[in-house]
Order: sequence, then C-alpha cells, then structure tokens
Amino acid sequence: MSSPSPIPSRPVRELMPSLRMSAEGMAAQMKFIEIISENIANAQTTRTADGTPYQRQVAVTGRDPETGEMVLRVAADPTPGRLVYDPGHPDANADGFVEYPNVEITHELVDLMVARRIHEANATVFQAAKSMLRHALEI
Amino acid sequence: MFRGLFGPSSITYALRKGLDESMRAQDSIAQRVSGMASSTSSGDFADALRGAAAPTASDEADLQRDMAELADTQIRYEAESKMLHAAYAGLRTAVRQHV
Repeated sequence: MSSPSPIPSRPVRELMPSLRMSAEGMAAQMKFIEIISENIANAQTTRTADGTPYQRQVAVTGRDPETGEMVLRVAADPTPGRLVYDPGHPDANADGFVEYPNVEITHELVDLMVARRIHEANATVFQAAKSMLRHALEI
Repeated sequence: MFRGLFGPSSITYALRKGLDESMRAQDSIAQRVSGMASSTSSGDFADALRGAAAPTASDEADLQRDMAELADTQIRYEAESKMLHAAYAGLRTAVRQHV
C-alpha cells in the first residue's frame, strides 16, 4: 500500500470551510475516476513491466486524525486474476493458461457512476456555499 | 440605545445568530458529502483497506437527506440575509433622517 498522500487542492481562502471541504470532496472523486480509468485501460494487460498481469488498483480516502486533511491511499487488489486457456498466447504458462488482470469491467463502471454522482453532489454543495456567500455580501 | 438596536434582544442580533447557525449547518453538510464514498470500490478488499485507513463517516451518509437539508439551509440563509439587509436598511434610513 502506498503511503497516504494529501489530496492536492488549490488553496481556497477560509471564507467558508464548506467551500474547502467540497473542493476536497471533488478532488477525491476525480482521483477515484483516474484510478478507475487506469483499471479499465489495463483490463486486458497480461504483462506489465515486471512480467506479471496488471493488478487492479483501489483508492481509499480518509481524514488525517491529527491535521484533519483529506488523504488518499492507493493499493493493489491481491485477488487472483482469471485464468483463460489459450496455449497460443505469448503470456501463456506451461499448462497453456493465461492469467488476466483481476479487473471486472462491470464493477469498474458501477464504481465510476458512484464517483460521478458523489462529484456532482459535492459540486452542488459548493454552488450552494457560493450562493450563500454572495447573499452575505449583499447585506 | 445602541444596545437596543444591536444587543441580544434586537432583531439584528437574532438574525446574525441565525446566519451563523445556517453557516454551521452548511459546513456540516459539506463535511458529510465530501466524506461520502471513501473508496473507489465496495468490494471485500476495499472494505478491509478502508478499515485500515482513517475512519470516516461515510457509512452514515445519506445523500438524499443531505441534499434536502442543503436546500433547507440555503432558503433559510437567503431569508435571514434578506431580513437582515432590510433591518439594516431601516436603521440606515433612521440615522439619515435624524442627522
């Protein structure tokens, strides 16, 4: 597992903490979408640089208990990939089986939809905070 | 006199408190929504990984409830800010008339 890294976000002045939190939420969902697209792009990659099939990546976010900052961890899913009998394949083993990545396209697409919806929800909250700030300036 | 206009018993004070309260509600909604879906996946491995990471309130998240609360907070905030604007406008008029 990679060490937790802070989610990069542009510094938002703390006029309203909810603007910062929504921006972090959107940045986290964008990272999730990046990871999902990487998984989908490599769904058929049977050989990576180290000679093994691609392993599905999973990203998890959480808040650092000390700083309160949102952090992202990315780890490789150790679930074994599916074996397909294809003796003519260049990556087939001695028994003629090829190990494909442990990526399920349907799961990835469902995860993509969830990430998109949560990104939209964060954008809605951001817009609401912005509108409240504008009303405050009109007092 | 000024205590009566701006002090704890005044309408402006109550409206300012109302605005602060709405702002806090907005912050708590933003915190809940930003902590939703704390993983790219909902599989067993992701659950284990999430357990190892810092705990979040994602399990308690309810998007529909949060969006309804958001709409409520927004309307309250808008109403309070308009009323406060009107209250200050009244005070401003009174000050101008007597100077």
